[in-house]
Amino acid sequence: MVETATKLVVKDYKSDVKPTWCPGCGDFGVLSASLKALAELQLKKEDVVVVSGIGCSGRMTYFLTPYGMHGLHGRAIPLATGVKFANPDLTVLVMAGDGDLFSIGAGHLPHAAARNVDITVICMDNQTYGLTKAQASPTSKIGHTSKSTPHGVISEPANPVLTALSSGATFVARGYSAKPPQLQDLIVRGIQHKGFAFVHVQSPCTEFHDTFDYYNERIEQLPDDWDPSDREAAIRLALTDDREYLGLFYQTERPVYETTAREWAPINDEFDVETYLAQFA
Amino acid sequence: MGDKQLIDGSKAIAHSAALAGCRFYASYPIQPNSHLIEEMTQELAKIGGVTMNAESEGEAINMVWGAAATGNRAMCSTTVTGMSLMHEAMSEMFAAEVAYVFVHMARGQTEYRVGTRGGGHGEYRYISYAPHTVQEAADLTRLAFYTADKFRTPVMIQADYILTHTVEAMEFHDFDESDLKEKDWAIDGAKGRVPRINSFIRGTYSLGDKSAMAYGELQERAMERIAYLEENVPSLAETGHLDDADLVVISYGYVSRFAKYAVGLLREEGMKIGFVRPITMWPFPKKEVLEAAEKAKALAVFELNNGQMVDDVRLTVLGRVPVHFIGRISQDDSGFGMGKAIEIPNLTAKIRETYEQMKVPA
Ligand SMILES: Cc1ncc(C[n+]2csc(CCOP(=O)(O)OP(=O)(O)O)c2C)c(N)n1
Ligand SMILES: [Mg+2]
Repeated sequence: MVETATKLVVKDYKSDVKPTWCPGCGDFGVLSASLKALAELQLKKEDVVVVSGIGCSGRMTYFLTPYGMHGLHGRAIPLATGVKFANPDLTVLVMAGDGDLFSIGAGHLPHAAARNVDITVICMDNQTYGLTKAQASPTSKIGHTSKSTPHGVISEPANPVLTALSSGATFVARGYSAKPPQLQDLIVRGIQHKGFAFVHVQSPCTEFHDTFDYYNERIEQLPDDWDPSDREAAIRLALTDDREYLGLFYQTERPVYETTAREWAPINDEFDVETYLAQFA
Repeated sequence: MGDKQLIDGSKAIAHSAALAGCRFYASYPIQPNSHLIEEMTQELAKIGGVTMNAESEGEAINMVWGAAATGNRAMCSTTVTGMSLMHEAMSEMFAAEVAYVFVHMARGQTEYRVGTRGGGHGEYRYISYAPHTVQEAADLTRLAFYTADKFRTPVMIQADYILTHTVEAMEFHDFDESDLKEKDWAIDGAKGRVPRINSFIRGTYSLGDKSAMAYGELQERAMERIAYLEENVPSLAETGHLDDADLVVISYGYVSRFAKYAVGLLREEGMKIGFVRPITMWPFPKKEVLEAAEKAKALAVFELNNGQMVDDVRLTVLGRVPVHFIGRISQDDSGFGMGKAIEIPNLTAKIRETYEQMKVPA
């Protein structure tokens, strides 16, 4: 049956719930890029589920019109995995904060990446706990002072891109909320990618930890001749401290967990008395 | 179906789950729960479902939430420490109004409260079934999936170490679910309607629905749901000898088989003792317990903990008759089994003592 195709536009994906984010918040850039990515892909609203955690970033579910789930702090990835396993036909996006993904929920990402579940995880990294008002987060850099770290952060910051690469994510990219067209492109490719896609987004919090200047000084595009199939090179680049590279670090193909798991033939576990007794004969 | 088989409790639950069309199951190994994971791996593979040996209890239960929110049948299970870990999500899954089945593979009976009132935050209750045989484990699993969907709420099976490993003759029965309605709340990708959001702070609602609830309202709604469930979910119990019993022993789950056997022995000696075996732990079978309290001089609750179900019995009879607690925490050296308290000489001695004391005129 041929459906009369009406072209979906950005407006179709935008709900009438007004974002509660502060003026200038990087998350507006992520929202805008995500809306455009959905429109670019012409995904039907009913085929998409956006799963979010808890935080300013976690509000995302309400601002988009596709199906959504708003779960517990840190648990967006397992929720999304469950959705995908139960209904592999859905396009599943996780949109969560740095605290969600790299502190309370840090145990989940490596496993989902290793399994290569076909979901797209977008980390909205503002290097702070926005919703609980400005405590240091696992991605806060050394020396960052906050209400909970008045003497400055003294622990090594988490490295989301490195974690994703080392855990076996098959698509790893970094975008910047102040560069929406590139971010849109990375989200589009992340969704198109068959397997676990991780898009790390620098999304500064203008209210509590304004890192726009910090990034503007440090961001750099990946070289034009960058080879995204070279995992080792990608890891070396992720370890660079003084530069914040943007673009597609790494992409590879690997079997997708939920597809493989559904193709397994049943194992014959019928208990046969004759066979059992034969071993004692 | 209909053929007699020799299988254990875990297999009975797993196969019933598959017959019920369970599409997804996740758990994390911990004894005596691990055997169920193995059985579920086998059973779901036969019907094209997925079993996940998850990275942790937290991951497992959240995956089950995701799967259940899509409207598919999903199941989870664990025991003791895993129970505590999963309650972060289980509390919210009641609020989010997702239907799923949870198998609590207990070690003794120290988690009666957790299995009925929960161990997390917010207002919630579990519909809770406690099978005492392999046959009943199979039947109640089917009933659990049905009830979960019918009332759109979590349902728990209270199984345990002995039931998991006990092999008995049983048969799988057909189960009529034809009155179940389509899940008009699922995140199932259906076309032609406003997409929905499943949220722990608002339940499931359609976008643009201005009446979507805020957290406080959701908690009030939870109270209404609890009252509705208590009223409408049939409570089940098995009773014996209530017509002539002076003392009624109340016991649940596998443990109740020992209690019932002990009651039988004492009756042969001429003692007028009856029993009530709650099958639904919640809603608690008040009718049967009240009936017992009407005729008997006293009730005696036997459970393997420091007295948990006894609270429900006392809340039911409200002082009409004395309610004695005759159980105790009792586990074998492994911590999994049921220990000395259920050994028949110990158990009969305990019931006899209660019966004789009761007979002494005050
Ligand atoms: C179990 C639990 N612990 C703590 C909280 C409180 N809490 C809410 S959001 C948050 C941190 C948010 O930080 P992040 O994930 O980076 O999101 P952001 O607000 O920065 O977007 C915390 C600690 C919670 N909701 N649940
Ligand atoms: Mg943050």
